[in-house]
Amino acid sequence: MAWFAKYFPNVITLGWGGEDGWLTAIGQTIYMTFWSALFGGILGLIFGVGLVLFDKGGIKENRLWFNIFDKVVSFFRAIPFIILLAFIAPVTQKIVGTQIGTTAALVPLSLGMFPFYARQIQVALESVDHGKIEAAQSVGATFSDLIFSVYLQEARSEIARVTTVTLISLIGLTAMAGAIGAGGLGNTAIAYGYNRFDNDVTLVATFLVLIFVLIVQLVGDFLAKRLSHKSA
Amino acid sequence: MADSVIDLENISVLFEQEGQTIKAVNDVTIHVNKGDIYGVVGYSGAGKSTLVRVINLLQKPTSGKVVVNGETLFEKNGQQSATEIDTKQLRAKRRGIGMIFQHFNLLEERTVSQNIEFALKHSGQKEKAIQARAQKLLELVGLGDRGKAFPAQLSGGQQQRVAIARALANDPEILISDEATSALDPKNTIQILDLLKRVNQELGLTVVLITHEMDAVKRIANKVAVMSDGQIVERGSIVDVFTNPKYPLTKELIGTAGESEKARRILATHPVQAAADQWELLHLTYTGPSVIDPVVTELYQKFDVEVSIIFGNVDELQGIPVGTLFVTMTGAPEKRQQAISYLHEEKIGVSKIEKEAAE
Repeated sequence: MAWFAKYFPNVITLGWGGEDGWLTAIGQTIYMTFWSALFGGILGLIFGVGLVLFDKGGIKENRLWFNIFDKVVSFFRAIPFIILLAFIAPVTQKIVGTQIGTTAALVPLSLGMFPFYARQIQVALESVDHGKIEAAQSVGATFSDLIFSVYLQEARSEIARVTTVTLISLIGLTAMAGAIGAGGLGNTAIAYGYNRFDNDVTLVATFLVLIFVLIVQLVGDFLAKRLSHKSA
Repeated sequence: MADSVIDLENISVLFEQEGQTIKAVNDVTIHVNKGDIYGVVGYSGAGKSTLVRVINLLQKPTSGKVVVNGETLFEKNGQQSATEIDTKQLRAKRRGIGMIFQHFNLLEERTVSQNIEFALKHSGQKEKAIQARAQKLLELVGLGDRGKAFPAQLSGGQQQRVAIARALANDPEILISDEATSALDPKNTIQILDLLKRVNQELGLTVVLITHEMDAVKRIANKVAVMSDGQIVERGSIVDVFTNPKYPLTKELIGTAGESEKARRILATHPVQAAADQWELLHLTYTGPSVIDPVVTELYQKFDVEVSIIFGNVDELQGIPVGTLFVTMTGAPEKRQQAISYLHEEKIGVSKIEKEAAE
């Protein structure tokens, strides 16, 4: 390990634990990714399903609701994330009780990822052939059958794929959350690496994020493949 | 009508498309009796699929009345608001109307058995009973050992069999087949058609068969309606329509038009040795075997006209042999007239074919 201490002195100085330690930063990134994926994911799923149902030719065709869903998604997608962080700070204050910190970052992260996810889900669900819906209706399927057994189940491989893409972009967003004191690997790279001219820290933080993304990608690809029984 | 199971009355379906109103179905009335295999033929875009989707209300008509098994599912006249059964009743009703599709529409992320079990989800039976029923249905369609396979692992013909099993799951009285054989090869087409015929006979199912292939109708249907531009232009028993088609489109679909062309081509290479007003080209249709030979001889003896056969063909419709002959009849005009009247008396269909193709 002598060569590591020689070339990466500042990485070692930061240490494992403590406020600026590596484990703390890794934990914060996982924490932010997990919870905002959960909240934003649920929100995105609801909006994605809604967009498909209310769309023209959808099973609950409704112009008003489609437009509301469509505009909300477009609106949040249009705001650059770094601005969204500041923009929704008052809302964060109401929900979490504070505007800064790792937990506070979950609100903008969820709101930042859900419109992206909603669009991805919309595309995934639209790939389900309308004929399958008709066939299910012809055997007397209920509304929930159509959602869960036809749309979501038939598109599950596609959903695994778009979830992977969304998670990777979410990891990207967590790196910006350092701006509101949320910590994480992105913050380590900027605050302890870049700002202090400690390039070794930036390098290691980037490497860790890469590993993180790689794991998500591998698991996602595996699931997408495993969940599909379609030909070709 | 006591034994009619499907009554569509004055059905119209209008679509709005880019500011234009398209009449997909235009004031169609159709009655299907119990046990019928009712063929609906026409080219794509004729409105066949839209019309049959009205039966189980996958397509709500713009106006008209839908009655299935004596129960009114939907009624709307003119500007009145529609009366229709509620969603829950409609779902129950739909289970009594099986449907199969051109692209099978199986759920690809479920096994074959699970596809059938899906249709039985709301049957009120226990899981064990549902699984047993699914297995029985698979055996009925000859796929008893493929329950654990996924649809993508099966051939097109096999997938359509699974779709039939799914459609039959809830013991329907009606089976709608929407171009179910159009994506299949000839061998599978015949197997699927024969399977439909079998369930019609064994389970007493009424079948509505939509297709653009006249051969499919010819093979199993007992009645046929020809659709064009949202309307039914010709309908009747299969034998009547085939032996005596009236509408040009019907002739085209049956192949009479093409066969007439063939007759003209043969005549062009083997010209008739007679003046133009001394002969004509005829298309004869007749049912039942061995009627035609003695008649041809009689024509010569009784009316002094000479009939020579260009080519002919025998089809079987509902077990009845139906013959088609293209002939030239040579003789004096008034004699030929008498001969044609005689053919009519003998219940032989006669239609004159233009000697030259009309441009």
